[in-house]
Amino acid sequence: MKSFGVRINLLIVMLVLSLIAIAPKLDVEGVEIKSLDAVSKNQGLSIGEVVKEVNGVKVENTENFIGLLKEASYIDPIKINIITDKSSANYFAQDDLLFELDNLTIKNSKIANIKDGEILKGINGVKINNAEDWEGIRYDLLPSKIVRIKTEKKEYVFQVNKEVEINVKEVSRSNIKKGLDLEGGTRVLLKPVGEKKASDQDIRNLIDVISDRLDIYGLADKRIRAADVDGDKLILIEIAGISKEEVQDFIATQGKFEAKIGNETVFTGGNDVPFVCKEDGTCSGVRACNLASEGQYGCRFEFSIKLSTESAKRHARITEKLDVVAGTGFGSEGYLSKPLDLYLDDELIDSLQISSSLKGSETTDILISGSGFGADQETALNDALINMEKLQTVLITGSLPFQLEIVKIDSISPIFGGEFLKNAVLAGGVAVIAVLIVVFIRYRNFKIIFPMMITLLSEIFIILGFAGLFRWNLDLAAIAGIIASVGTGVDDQIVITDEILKGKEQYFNWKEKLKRAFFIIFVAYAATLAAMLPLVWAVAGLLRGFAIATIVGVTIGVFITRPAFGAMLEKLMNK
Amino acid sequence: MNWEKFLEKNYKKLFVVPLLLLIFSLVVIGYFFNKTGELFYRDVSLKGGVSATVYEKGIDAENLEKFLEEKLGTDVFVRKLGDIATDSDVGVVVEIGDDVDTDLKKNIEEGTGKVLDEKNFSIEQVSSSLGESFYQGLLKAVLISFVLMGIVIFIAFRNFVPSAAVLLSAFLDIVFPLAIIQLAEIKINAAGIAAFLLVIGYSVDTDILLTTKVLKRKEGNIYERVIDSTKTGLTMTFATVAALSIAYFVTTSFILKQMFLIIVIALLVDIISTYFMNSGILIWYCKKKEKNEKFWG
Repeated sequence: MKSFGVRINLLIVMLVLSLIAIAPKLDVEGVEIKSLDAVSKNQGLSIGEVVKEVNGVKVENTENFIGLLKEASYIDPIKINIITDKSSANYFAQDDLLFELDNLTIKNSKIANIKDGEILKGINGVKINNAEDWEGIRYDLLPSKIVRIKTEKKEYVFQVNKEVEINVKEVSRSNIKKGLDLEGGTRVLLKPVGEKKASDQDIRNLIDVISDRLDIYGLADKRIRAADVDGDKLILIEIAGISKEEVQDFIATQGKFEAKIGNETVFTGGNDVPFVCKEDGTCSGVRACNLASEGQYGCRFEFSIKLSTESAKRHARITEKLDVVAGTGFGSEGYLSKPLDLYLDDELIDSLQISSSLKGSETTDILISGSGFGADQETALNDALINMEKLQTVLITGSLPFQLEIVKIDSISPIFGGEFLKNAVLAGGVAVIAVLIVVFIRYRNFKIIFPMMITLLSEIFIILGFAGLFRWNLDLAAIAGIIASVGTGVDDQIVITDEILKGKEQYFNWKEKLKRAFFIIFVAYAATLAAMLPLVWAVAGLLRGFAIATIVGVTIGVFITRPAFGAMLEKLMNK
Repeated sequence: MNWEKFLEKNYKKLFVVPLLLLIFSLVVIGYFFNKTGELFYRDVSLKGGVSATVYEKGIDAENLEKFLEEKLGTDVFVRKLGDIATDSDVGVVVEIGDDVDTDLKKNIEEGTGKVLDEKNFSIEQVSSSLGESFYQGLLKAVLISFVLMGIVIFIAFRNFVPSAAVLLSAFLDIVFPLAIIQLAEIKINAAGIAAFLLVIGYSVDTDILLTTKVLKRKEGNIYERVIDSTKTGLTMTFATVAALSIAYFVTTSFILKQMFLIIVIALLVDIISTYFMNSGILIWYCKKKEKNEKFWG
């Protein structure tokens, strides 16, 4: 077998390595879960799982999944007949009965003809005489459906009474990661504000805390890094699928938790609290809901925590000084004169009575509680759950050492991100074709066009290989960088071609000619490198993708693909 | 026609064209700077403010602009987002230069009667202080990259006049597109400045080729060598211009469009700056050197 020569062999090796780095998967099926609603989360589905089937039908792509899920969990409205002591009505209901019941008395009625205060007597042909009759039928009134979702782990089967909302994305088909502007999501630039300037160490601490918080919220698909803008130290966060409001709430709030008795702090979040019970029903959860006032529901949550011995000692020292006040109820053991006040970001969120038995004790077990409110029970419950999660997170992660100000926020629609990608690939494709046409017009020789095409495509492929290897996020700017470095690649190939074609004057041998061409190429390379370097650090590194794509592109070109092009041309033309 | 003869007779006259372009560019930039105090109109990413994109067909941009201006009491700029390739209406972009706290999404929903969610709505918000420091940072980057490029050129050629000629040519390649952008009142974003950096790297390719061939080669006379490198250089430029102008029309992304536009204008003016100006300077420089050598030799 004839050898290709060192330069061409090197190119072949690089192409193979790139293929391994990109690792394209040809047999992927299904869609990856990006976010879940409460119902599906409760079933054990988790973010990142790959859904293969919905109700036995294979999932092809995201659009097809949205359709399938809608179909599977869409509830047809059913006709309901209601009779009260004063009137009767027929109406359609879907996921809401359109009335609420308090001691068999109708309230919050949204049904025409039925007014609040009427007494329920029968529904769908079943007579209602007492609360038991009602309890016996109430859960069978509204339609429900069985949804089966099969993922790569197992099949989840559950009953739903309203549409399930699961957001998904395409399963990645290779190691190449798409940037935020091609995938959709939110990018936030946070600036620490405080009395003292944030140091590098402060920024690292902040990043750790924020990263922990995001982990707790189940937002695994995130990127956080420090960014430097004109001497200001900032933090850049990119997360797929989170809204601006959530960022403000979860990330940028300082989360300064303090538990005080009177003016004395007993413990704060973070180090004082080595254990926080979370997602364990035995020691954490919403315990009771009731009507707080007219049209206002309240739900109370509780979860247990363990204090550090140091905080427990502080607790003992402070409670020792307090008086015991007799309890109001019969058999009550009484409370201490001052409650334990819980503050979040300087706002009182709850006051807990301290049992007299804890006076002066070094207790490490504390029950934290709080509440949530809403116009109906469901919103109150949700509010309580959100508040509980927030409090748990703050207790686990501790407060941020700085207040954070959002200085830049971008949110990009995922659908248009996908279209940008298709479009950018198309733009790159026509650019390559346009180059080849111009070159063909000039040389009219397939022996030149063919190696040039191979070289251009190899350059793109090897850049993508690097992107796969180093898990770059390929964003729009990076694609622009790839197109740009392919552009300079063509320039160099034309220089090489012209040097080699000048065969009339045979002063020099092939080697000499290539050497001459490469002087021009190296100087041009150094100039491009010099021009792009400042961009690696400018604008908080937001244009780093572009700069690195261009730098890697021209480097690969100069050291690997273009020498190989020279060798190919030499072999083809020298016959 | 014999190009070598033509060049020999006219290389000094050709110099007029780039000189006029340079004067034109500097006058436009000076006038613009005098009028606005800026180098170009900056978009939200470099100035601060909000830019929201609504991907919904059939929105009346003018009505929406009026509605939002009344509602928010500040200058609002609404432009249509069209796909040139298919000539279709894609949506609108709403831009507000001030830092706004109000819920822009809600107001746009009210003004258009469309329901907006994460699927048809994108938003970019930058505080004015950050926009300003991005802007300053990028201008610094342009300056540093020009200086670094200059150092590379001086090390490569180790001759003052030819190196300075390359830098002068690169300078024209930057100021001319800048003047055109000012005249067209295009708002530049951060990626647009990245395009200028790329121009610094790109535009010197043809100058390096020309200078190397003229100074370091011995075959043929100087005019032949200039014409020879012009052939190669023009092929290079036309290949890239063809690629990027087609990509310009194909892409729907504003970021890419702006980058491609700037690079294409720069490459076109580079033909004039390289072959009318840089080659003229080189011919003049070589002739003078030859004379000196004859005189002393």
